[in-house]
Amino acid sequence: MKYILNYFISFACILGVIATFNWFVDPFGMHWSPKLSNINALKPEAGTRTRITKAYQANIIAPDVLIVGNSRVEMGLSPSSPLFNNKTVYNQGMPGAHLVMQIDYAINTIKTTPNIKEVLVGIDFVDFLITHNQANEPIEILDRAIKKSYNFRLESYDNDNKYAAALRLKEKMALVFSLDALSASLKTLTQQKSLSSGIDELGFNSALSYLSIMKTEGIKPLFTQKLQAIADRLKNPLYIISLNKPSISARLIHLKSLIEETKKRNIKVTLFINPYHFSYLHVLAEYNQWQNFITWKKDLTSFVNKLNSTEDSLENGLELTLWDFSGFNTMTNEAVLLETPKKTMHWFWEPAHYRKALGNKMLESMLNEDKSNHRGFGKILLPKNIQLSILEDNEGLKKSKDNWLNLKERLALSTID
Amino acid sequence: MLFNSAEFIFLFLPLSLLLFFSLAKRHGNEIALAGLVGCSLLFYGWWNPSYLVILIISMLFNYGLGRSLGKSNNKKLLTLGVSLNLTSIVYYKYAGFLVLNINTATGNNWDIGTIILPLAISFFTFQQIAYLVDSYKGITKEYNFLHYALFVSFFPQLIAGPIVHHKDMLPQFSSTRRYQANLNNFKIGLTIFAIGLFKKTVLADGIAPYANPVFNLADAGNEIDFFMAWGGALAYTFQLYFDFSGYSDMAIGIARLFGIILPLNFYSPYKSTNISEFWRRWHITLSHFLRDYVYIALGGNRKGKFKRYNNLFITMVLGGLWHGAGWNFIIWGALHGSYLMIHLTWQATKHNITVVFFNTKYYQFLAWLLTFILVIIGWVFFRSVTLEGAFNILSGMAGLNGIEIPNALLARLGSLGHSLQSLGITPSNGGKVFIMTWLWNITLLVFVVTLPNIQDLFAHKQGTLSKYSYSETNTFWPTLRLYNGLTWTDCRRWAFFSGACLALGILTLSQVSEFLYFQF
Repeated sequence: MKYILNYFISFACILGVIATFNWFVDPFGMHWSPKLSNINALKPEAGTRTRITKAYQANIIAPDVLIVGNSRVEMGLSPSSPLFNNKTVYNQGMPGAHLVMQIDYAINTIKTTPNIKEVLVGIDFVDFLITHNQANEPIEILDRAIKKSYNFRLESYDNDNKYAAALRLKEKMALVFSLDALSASLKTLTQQKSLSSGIDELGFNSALSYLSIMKTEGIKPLFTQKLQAIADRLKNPLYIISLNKPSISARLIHLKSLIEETKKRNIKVTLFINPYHFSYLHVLAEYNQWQNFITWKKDLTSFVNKLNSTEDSLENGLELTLWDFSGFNTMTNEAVLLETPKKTMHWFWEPAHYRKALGNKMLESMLNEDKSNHRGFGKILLPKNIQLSILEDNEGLKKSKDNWLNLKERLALSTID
Repeated sequence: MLFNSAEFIFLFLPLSLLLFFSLAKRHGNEIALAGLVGCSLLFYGWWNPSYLVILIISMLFNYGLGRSLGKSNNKKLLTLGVSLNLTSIVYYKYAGFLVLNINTATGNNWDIGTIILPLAISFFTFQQIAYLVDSYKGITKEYNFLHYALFVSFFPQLIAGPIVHHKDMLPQFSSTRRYQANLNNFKIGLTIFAIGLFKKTVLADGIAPYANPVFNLADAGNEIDFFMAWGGALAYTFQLYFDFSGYSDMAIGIARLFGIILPLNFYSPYKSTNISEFWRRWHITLSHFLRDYVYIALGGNRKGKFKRYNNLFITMVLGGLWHGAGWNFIIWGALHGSYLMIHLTWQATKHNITVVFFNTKYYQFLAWLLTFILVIIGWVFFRSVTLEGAFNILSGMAGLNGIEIPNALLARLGSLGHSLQSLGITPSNGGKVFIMTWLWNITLLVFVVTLPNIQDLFAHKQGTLSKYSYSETNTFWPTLRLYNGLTWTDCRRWAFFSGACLALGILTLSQVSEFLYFQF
């Protein structure tokens, strides 16, 4: 009997020690146990579980301002920026998350967190692209499959799932009672002094891994890999218009549901189109997506205008704003200095991800109350200026073409048409 | 229900044990066995209750037929029984494959719809075919249906083996001694189960992410470079071994908790120094079945050398086909059949010549290396979904798709990195995956060639029905002297070690996992 007793004592002790260790190190940033510098302050593994942790952490932080979007937003807009004037801000940006998921998470946070006064929503053209098959499917069917993977996690969406509470508990427990967590804890301990990306309590991704890559490999692989990845994503025919609902992008319907939810609670919403490095826009153009990109911007502008013209909006004075940071300017046209490959760029990490410095420029524009004499980064898209804006975009594309061809040649991007 | 699931470990298994021993105590062995049959059917029906109908019909039919064969010795009846069993397996497992090939050959467009393969049909059908053949030969005794049902459905081995033989199992079920919880069996069973769980969940599932993407890429028609191909093929080699042998260990451990001893299914196959030895150690119970009921039935080695080789080849092709309906499995079987034929020829040649080198450690190492590489090549066909995928991996392993090293690694190698690039090695992405793949592969390679197995550790306590113990025959085991004699003992050290294995295994329960051999 002693053997069996020792067997289970050993079992329980090891389970207990590992769980305590995981809770203390908290590699995924779920529990935010005491942070000790050089031990668990940096959380390089947190990025692997953001879809779980950001569903719960937003409620714990109970922010005044919520930032919504994908990895661009997660790495670009710092909730700790002084531009927020000491407001509590949570960055719910999630790498690779589908737009439907980003919006559902945001709606859930809005419904379950009373403090929110403002929401900044980063939107991306590629998130609005759909394949031919998807274009022919009713939106509900498309969304159902996506939502199935996370609905149980969101309290306001779990009505259909009677096991949702148990599943949430299981998921949280797995971040402590699992071998994955142990492995992540050990990596966390050993990578404290490394240049690794980490997610902080407010959901911001430090993106330090880019510095590590820059240091060892230089900027060239960052650009070649990212541009190639974008090209791969765009090589099959993609559409933005739902064939079932002509003139309305299916994704806009989903965006509308978020805006309706914010209206009910008098929450101010700012939509913004993320900035892209000019090389990114040229890949879009080379893969025949430039016209779609322009059409998408027009759609967005009329969509926002339509929502602002409703009686309800006129009554409560909450105007929805659409900022466009995606045009060509000195920042997005930043040169890629391949001759000094280990020197980081000022505004961008690589073609698709902007740095905090550019994020702060965006915040300066978006958070400035006086928008009438805006001279800074980006522009507010309105029906009256959309044509001019498109002309400027087309002009920008033309003007930067030589730079792009030159860059493409130096990057040896032969597989991009 | 998976062995590595919370519902099995914390609910089903303890309740089954409790039910079995309390029924035995209160109502006797027969009622306890009936309870165990009930538990086994519940376990099987957990995936899909409709599977149960097939299993129960199969048991009733074969039991009835076995009894008749025992009395009448009627060859036609045996042929009918075996044919019907094979027909059911052909229908469920091979019909789609057959129709596909007929369509390809004739240009027809026949469609038989989707046939869902009942879980473990290959295992329980083959066990029962063996029973029918032995009933006909008069080898089996007459058993009651309850014992027979348990022999077929005993849940620890029902889904993925070991394939049990009636002569090994039925006498254990017919014991006249009252079943009661035995402390010694619990110690042994819990320890073996914990080690098996660790092998499956920590090692097999741990290395799986470095195997699957490579094969998926190859099956999708992508070219695979040298290191990726070898990394993926090796990772699968270890994944399959730890997955299947881990499952077998768990089955042996669980059965032992009930006081039942199962046959050995694995005995460190990757230590083998020739392919015949590999088949004596890999999926031992299937090899025995194929030997006794296919190879010998075909004539074995009784009708000359050519016929022997022919029988061997056919047996291995059928063994390949047993694993699944696909050309890759057939090629895998044919490949092993060829390996065995070449090995037999080599053995005969070697017997006639005297070369000192054959008795050296270098020869032993080279023999092991060659055997291991041939086994890996076999697994490439076994794992690939398409033939093109298999050839993509093999051409990568042969270096025909170039050699790539992650840029992150090359950049850190400084001038060596430049030299490598000048030799034609190209930079690629995925430094982390590259390093993890090779770290896992090297670690598990060390494990499989240096550590003793469950059988070595528990032979003195009759861990299985086998007599193997620290076998040195045709073995490459560089650390044998280090471990020789190490066996499990009822001491605190072993209790802590196995408790730790259980804890680490339990910590993987929230991760996604599936046993590879369930598909066969």
